[in-house]
Amino acid sequence: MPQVRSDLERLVAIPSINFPGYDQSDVQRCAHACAELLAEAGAAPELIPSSSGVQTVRADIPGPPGSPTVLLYSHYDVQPAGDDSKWDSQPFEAEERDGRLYGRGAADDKSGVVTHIAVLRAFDGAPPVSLRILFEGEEEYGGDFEEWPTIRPEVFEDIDAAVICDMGNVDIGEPTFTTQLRGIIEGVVTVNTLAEPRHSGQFGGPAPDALMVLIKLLATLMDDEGNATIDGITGSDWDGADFPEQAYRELTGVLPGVPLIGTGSIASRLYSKPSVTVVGLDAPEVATAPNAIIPMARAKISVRIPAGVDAEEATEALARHVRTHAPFGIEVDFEPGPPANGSAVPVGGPGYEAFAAAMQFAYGVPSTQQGMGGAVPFVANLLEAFPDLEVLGVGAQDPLARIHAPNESIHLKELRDSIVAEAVFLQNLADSAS
Amino acid sequence: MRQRVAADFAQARADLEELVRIPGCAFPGFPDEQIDRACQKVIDIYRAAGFPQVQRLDIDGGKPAVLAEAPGPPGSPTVLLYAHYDVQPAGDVSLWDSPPFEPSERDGRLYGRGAADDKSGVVIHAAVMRAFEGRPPCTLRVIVEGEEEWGGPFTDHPRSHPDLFAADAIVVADVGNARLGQPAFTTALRGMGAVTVECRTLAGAVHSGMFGGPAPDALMALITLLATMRDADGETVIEGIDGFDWDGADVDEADFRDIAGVDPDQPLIGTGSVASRLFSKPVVNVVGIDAPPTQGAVNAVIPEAKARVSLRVPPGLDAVAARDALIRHLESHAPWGVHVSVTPDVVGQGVRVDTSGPAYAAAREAMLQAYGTPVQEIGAGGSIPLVDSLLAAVPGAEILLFGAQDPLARIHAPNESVDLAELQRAILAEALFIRNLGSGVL
Repeated sequence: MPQVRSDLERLVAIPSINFPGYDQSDVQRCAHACAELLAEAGAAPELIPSSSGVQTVRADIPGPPGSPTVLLYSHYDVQPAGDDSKWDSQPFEAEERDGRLYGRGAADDKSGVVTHIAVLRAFDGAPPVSLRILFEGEEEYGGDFEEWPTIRPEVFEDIDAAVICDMGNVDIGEPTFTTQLRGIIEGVVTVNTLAEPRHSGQFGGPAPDALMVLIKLLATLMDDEGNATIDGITGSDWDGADFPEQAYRELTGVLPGVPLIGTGSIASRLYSKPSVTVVGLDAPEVATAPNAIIPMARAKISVRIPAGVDAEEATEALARHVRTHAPFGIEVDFEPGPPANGSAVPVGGPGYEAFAAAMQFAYGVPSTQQGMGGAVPFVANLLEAFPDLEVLGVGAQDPLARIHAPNESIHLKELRDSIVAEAVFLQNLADSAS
Repeated sequence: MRQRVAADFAQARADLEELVRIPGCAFPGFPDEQIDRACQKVIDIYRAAGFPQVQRLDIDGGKPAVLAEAPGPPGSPTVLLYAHYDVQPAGDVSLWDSPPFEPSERDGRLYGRGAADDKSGVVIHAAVMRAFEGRPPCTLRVIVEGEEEWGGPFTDHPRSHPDLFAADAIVVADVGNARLGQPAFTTALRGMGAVTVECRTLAGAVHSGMFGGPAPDALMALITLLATMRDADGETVIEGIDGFDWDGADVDEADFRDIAGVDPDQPLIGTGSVASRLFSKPVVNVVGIDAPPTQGAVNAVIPEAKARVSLRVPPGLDAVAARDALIRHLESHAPWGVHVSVTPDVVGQGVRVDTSGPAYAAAREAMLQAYGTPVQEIGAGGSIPLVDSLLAAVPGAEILLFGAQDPLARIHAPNESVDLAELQRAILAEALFIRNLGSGVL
């Protein structure tokens, strides 16, 4: 574990943010660091650049002749830190508090990177099955890698099971497979009405205020009960276990007295119905806002879509909604973001059983299944290209990991257990195959 | 009179240029030294114009004003002439086509910060005094404020010193015509109020993939709430804040679009005449929102969001009551059972001016003489807090608002300017008004 932790600290220190406007050399640096760690663990990694130059780290480690081949996936790129002032410690300096290691990417998904490396080390570089390790650097923003299942099918054709280590358990110590993933679509809506700001006293009234237009438009995305109301994007009721409301409230940090929104079971709202958020909005700051009519306003809309809803069609539906619901006859611009389908993975195969047994061993309790609100476009594309492939969504990102938010962290004991589970899984799979 | 004003206009322009060169801004952080220089320059200009008494008027906790007096014939009416010498900050200097504090003439307009707002008013009063060659037909008292833009304690000075402001007529030369050469009285000023509304739903941001759905997003809640302030036509709909139809001159839609810089492909919003929407109906705007910017936005449910809401109040309506109605609206329309907190902020009372008195009759005639066309009544969207204060302190006075700040003057914006011909007409109009009022024939 000390080595795992030091690996993770080393990776967290590299702000590998593959978003426009961020230093790409950090992304490169992180790819090299991943490759070095793999080499130290006994692999011979190669770096494969995408069209944008972002490198995927690949390592093939042969197992005994005739053994199955397992894909171990995670990603080394991270979300931007957001507002630094909301972090209790530096986002890119790992810091331990109460058994958790804090830092951007500590959970999502550098925990996955160090898990696979630790498993390789556990077998002294000679695993009982053949491994194909892939660390991508384009997960958070999108890029070529998610298309690999179609543009580089040969990388996946000989795979017997794929471990997607970018998930987590329903709670710490409760091993969980993530079997359904919501997709995600997004778009940026821009309202341009005036050449420049105008004094609200002199011009307020007839002058179309871009921010007011935007507000009226965004308000049409939800109904009075808080359900997403975008024509053409529908959901269904979740037929698995519900998510207990009290646990949800605690995990999400819903303030006392604040109601939950939407209708149907919590699990339906989390896994099988669309949900919409405005994740960013460009407007003057409150503290220094002059009394001005605003000439341009912009918002980024993000919609989670249930598995089974086509993300491209949903993006078109969102674009239609935005155009037809713009108020006052104002024309608005809509720039669609990359669509990502949700996915439902097959369960119950030999890989699943081997991993379930490994979880029982590692955690001491039986495993469960959950849906997941988030999208992993690569997984969706992998399943589309190889519908029968066993895809195992696991990891150490528990609900308190606060991924994508300030104070992201990983629970160190949970990380250890998930490494043990993955190692035992490989051994189980090798044993059952031979 | 027309010839005297024309012959003297070079002096008026020279006065204006000297004033524009002094960047006297009363905002915190700007040097008092420049305010003092500007104040002294005003004193010098009024002395040179022939006012027998000119003095600096120190304001407790504020910036100095200038008081200039010239007695009229015994029994003549007293006219108070108001302007202000302080200016807005220049803002982003790179947006100016010429340096903001170096007067520069282009196409008949003199550019520079304060050239219109309101150093034009300062030089109008001086030029009028010169036009009477030291013997005005009314008693003139000029008060030039030094902190109008900032909103300092001078605003309350009329209430605490009503004798200083006692007059039969008060000219506030800090407005302008709706278009060049078309004289106008500004007879209605909207009031204003502002509040900050805040919504908190979660302890911190959480991943929208893992948690998005049941968790009430604070920004979505705030947006949904703010959207209830306007109806589908863009009309402001807040119970307890009603406007009325403007019965003065309308504002030409094409002119308005041009001046406001409305994108040619976009419509205006709201219903009723453009003038009603600008002068006599309520308007609520969201002037600021605290939320993550779109660039670098992460997929997170947002825990807290805040907006500043600015309200323009129809003239005649109590601005405090209107702001309180806005607060009630925000508190009662939050969606999904989410709670918001609303913090009240500044108010400024609007004004409706009575135009039926003798001073207005004298001024109407003066406008016709100066511009060759009858005067219009227009409103002004923005409030001038001093006007409300003057009305309260000097209830018997007629208040007249006119001046040389036409809509192209771009006050408060880069490339502020005054049209020089318009400035000369405004001087003539004010001089004729004082002559008409003093002659008592009207």
